[in-house]
Amino acid sequence: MKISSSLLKPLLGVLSIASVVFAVNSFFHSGPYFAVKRLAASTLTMFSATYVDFWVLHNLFDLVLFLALSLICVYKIMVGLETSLMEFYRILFVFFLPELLGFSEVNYFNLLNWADILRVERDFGAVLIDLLIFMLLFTITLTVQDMERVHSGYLANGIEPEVLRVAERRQIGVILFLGASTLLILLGIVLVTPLPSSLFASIQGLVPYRYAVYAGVAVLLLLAGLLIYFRERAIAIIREN
Amino acid sequence: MRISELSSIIAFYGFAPIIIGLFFGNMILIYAGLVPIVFVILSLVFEPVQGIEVTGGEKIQKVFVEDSVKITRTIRASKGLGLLLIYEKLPEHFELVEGKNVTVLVKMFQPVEERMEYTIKCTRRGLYPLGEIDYSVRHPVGTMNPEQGKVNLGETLIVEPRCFKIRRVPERQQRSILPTPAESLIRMGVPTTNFRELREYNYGDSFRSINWKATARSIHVSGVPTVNEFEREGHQVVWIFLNSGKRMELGTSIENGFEYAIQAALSFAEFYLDRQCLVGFSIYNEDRGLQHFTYSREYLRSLYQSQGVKTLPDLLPVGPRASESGDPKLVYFNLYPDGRRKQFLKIQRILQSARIGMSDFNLAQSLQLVKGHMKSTTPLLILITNVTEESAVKLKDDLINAERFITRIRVPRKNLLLVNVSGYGLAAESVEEQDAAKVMAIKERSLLRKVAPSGAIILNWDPSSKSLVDQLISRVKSR
Repeated sequence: MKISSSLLKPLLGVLSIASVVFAVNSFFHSGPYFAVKRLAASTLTMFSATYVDFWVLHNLFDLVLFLALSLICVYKIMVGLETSLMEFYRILFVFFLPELLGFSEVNYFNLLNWADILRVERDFGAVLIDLLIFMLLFTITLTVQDMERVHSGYLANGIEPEVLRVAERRQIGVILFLGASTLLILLGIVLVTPLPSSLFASIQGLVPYRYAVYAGVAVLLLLAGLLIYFRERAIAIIREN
Repeated sequence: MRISELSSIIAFYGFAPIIIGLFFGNMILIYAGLVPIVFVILSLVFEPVQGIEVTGGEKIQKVFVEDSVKITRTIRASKGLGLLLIYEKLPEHFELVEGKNVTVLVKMFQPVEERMEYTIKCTRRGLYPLGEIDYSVRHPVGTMNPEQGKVNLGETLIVEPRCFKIRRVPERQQRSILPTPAESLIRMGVPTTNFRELREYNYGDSFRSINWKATARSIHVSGVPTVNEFEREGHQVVWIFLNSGKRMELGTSIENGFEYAIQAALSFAEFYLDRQCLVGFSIYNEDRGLQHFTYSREYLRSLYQSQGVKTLPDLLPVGPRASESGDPKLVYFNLYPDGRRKQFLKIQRILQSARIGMSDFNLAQSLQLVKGHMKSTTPLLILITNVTEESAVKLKDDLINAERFITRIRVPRKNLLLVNVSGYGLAAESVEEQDAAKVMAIKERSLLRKVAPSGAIILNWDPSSKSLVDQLISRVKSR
């Protein structure tokens, strides 16, 4: 019995299609999406389009986009290109950006007078839940991918597939438990954050150019993160050799 | 245990949205970035598997070559969560027949116990360590690096060489080629009726043994009576010489001439020990250059002057492990004639660890070392070797040298059984190679006739076509 008969590949498929659903849903509620649709509708009107053409534009376009992205996921998993799923997730993340940027305190796009692009259709809570679940699905996908790589190695070393199936079921249980706990903790943080933020609001007001300070802190954190990442990579490479 | 690369990657994908969120002043991105980080931190709360115990079976097991052994391991883990990969390394020359020597244990919140069972087949004799178990502990989510460990149960598997059960042919109308040492001239034991010599009377001699006629003739010279000395009845002596030269290795690593020669040596030892013979055993190495086995006075004098050698033991130091410990002294393997089960076990122990080139002495030197034990016993000499054109001349010389010990007094025959273990058949794989092996076997037969002294028995054995017993049966002749 091959690893393909295990739960891991179907699970990866379910996780990535669910991620597509959340990403596409966010995109369908974003300003650029409506702008594109309006442009397409006006173009169709210019060419004296029929009712069917408008129906296709409003319904079939969404479906085709969702199906195309889902098919890419399934194809990647079926042909064993799970490692390139990370790039795919990064693309999906881009689908969130138009809607997310509408909730930014610093709107650089206002400088370009693109207020229409940053129009918000949904409230803060709905977008937050969407992105939290998306990030959770992404994290779980990373761990399941790693698990599949390890299990494939075990299978190649002669471990019984039945034993591996038991192991993967239990590991998936642990991962789902961790995912649910993470989501609960995050919701707790979201609910609790406004209290200290109101306390620090007065302090923030004292800081001149506070967004510039935030950006500076962000850059420093980015550099620190990169430093830690490359250090860990170097240690891993030295250990492998 | 260090955090794994996976943790670093997940954390990186968490920090990225946080930084972007800070850059844009976007709280949703900051919250979203916390998801992977919280996930990793939560996963690190789970400790990987600890409290690993592995138990095995008997510390020492004895089996024969080609026997199957069932190995059972009980693995327990009491703490932590995750996967435990258990792997037991098999020694060389072992074949996994049933089951697997690797398994994965899934440990969740309850203590877990599992058995790993597998069967191995021992394809070659020797002393093998077992129970060296490697394990790898893996975190349930993979956010910590796997931890490696070892458990040594300290078990030993003794794989004894299998010997053929050789039996004499009971039919009177048939004659087996297997010789027995016909004469056993020893100093102690019950006297037989075979007259040996006349000698002077000694204190303790029976009066009945006095030869009165001879006494009457010689008493005026010696002053003491003359007595009849008769041959003593004792155990007959057999010497087995096994060649450990490179040539014996012809064949595969598992099935080669040396392995079959070991089986033959053990079979002959068992056969003669069962018949109350005293069996001596020696391993020699035909690849060793011929040295001064006669030790001329000039040679010894030169040794005395140059190296300070005073006695023969200085010249030929002993110790089977001398070469392994880095001692430059020479190594030889001789077991002096002895009987019963004890001697069989001694021979078996030497043969268990026998390897090619294990002796530092050639046949001539080995004969020189044991000649004191051969004198006056007229032993049956069994020589197990592989005769080639290169070794034939040397072997012939050595056998001429040994003739004085093995020539029977009353019958003009040599007490010699020359067993040639032919490895060509074992080495041949393709049809062409098998044909070539047959041609080489014919050549071997003519070589053997040239090498062996007249009256010696030659046994040319091709293990790839016949077992030793079948080969012996094929040589049984009707009267």
